Amino acid sequence: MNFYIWKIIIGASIITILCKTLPILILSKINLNKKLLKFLNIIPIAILCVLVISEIFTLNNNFCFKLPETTALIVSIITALKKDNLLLTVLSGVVTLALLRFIF
Amino acid sequence: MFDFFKKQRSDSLFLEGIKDCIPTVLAYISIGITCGVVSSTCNMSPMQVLAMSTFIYTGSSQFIISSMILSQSSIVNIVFTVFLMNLRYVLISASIAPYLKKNSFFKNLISGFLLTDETFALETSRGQSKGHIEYNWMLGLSLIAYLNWIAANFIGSILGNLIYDYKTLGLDFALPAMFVGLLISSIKSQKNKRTSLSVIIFTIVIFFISISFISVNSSVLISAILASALGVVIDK
Repeated sequence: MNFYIWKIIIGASIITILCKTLPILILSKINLNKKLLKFLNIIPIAILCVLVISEIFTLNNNFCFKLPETTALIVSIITALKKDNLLLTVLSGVVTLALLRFIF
Repeated sequence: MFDFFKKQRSDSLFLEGIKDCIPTVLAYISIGITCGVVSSTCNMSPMQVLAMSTFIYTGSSQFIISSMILSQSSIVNIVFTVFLMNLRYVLISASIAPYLKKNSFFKNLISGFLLTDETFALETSRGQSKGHIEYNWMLGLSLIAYLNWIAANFIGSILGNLIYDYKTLGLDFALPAMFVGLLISSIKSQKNKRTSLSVIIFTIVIFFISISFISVNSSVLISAILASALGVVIDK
């Protein structure tokens, strides 16, 4: 049995569960001030934005411009703005990237 | 009689949650299968992939784990990297905590465990419009996502041998594409769009400056926190 992988799964599971559950368990039981609530309201936008940017424009911890991925990103953004349909947004981006990789 | 109507409402909220999850299901399937395929390339057995998707249940961490196993990184290194990757969940989970005040400890434990990048945007939108997140709605939304994710990962781990290079299918773009969709949806639900757009610009600028000095994972956290703080300052 490969204990190396099982140990990783156990360790990573504990860490992930703590990261996800502790803030909810603690903060849901205390009253937060208005500024903190506003901050927590804005955080999702910042997080999602930086996740997109880090996925598309970085490679091995450095900035990297990738034309096919950037093109697919633009297509996804336009689809999301026009259609407001998550499934279409994902499909448009995936298909665009697949086509560009196939052609080039 | 009152209990009957209470149960009817609980059931309808649960079903509403399932319905609201449907648009994300295909994204989950494509990313989940990709994740399963990638995991199988680092010699993980289908059982290990099943365990990883069941107990870790975060796509980005699972991708990172697979890649680090391939490069034979130490267990401590991998777990620490997962911790850094998942620090954003501290912020995400904190951001929905105010909408879960009515829930018991056990329900909030379940809510936290089932939280993902994808469901949190939907939950935030629900919380902002209703002032709280109904537990049964959240359960319907999250359980479908969770079971779908596990199944997709398992299928991907079995299909792994048949799909030599998932990148030729563009499947590695499914995750960022989903983030784009969720981001645009979040902005549309915000009352003050000027603040939202300002936060996006701040985030991008701070991120690109910070990656010159620190790792991408740290830059993700710092740019999100600083940009959000600036957003609070300029929001009126």
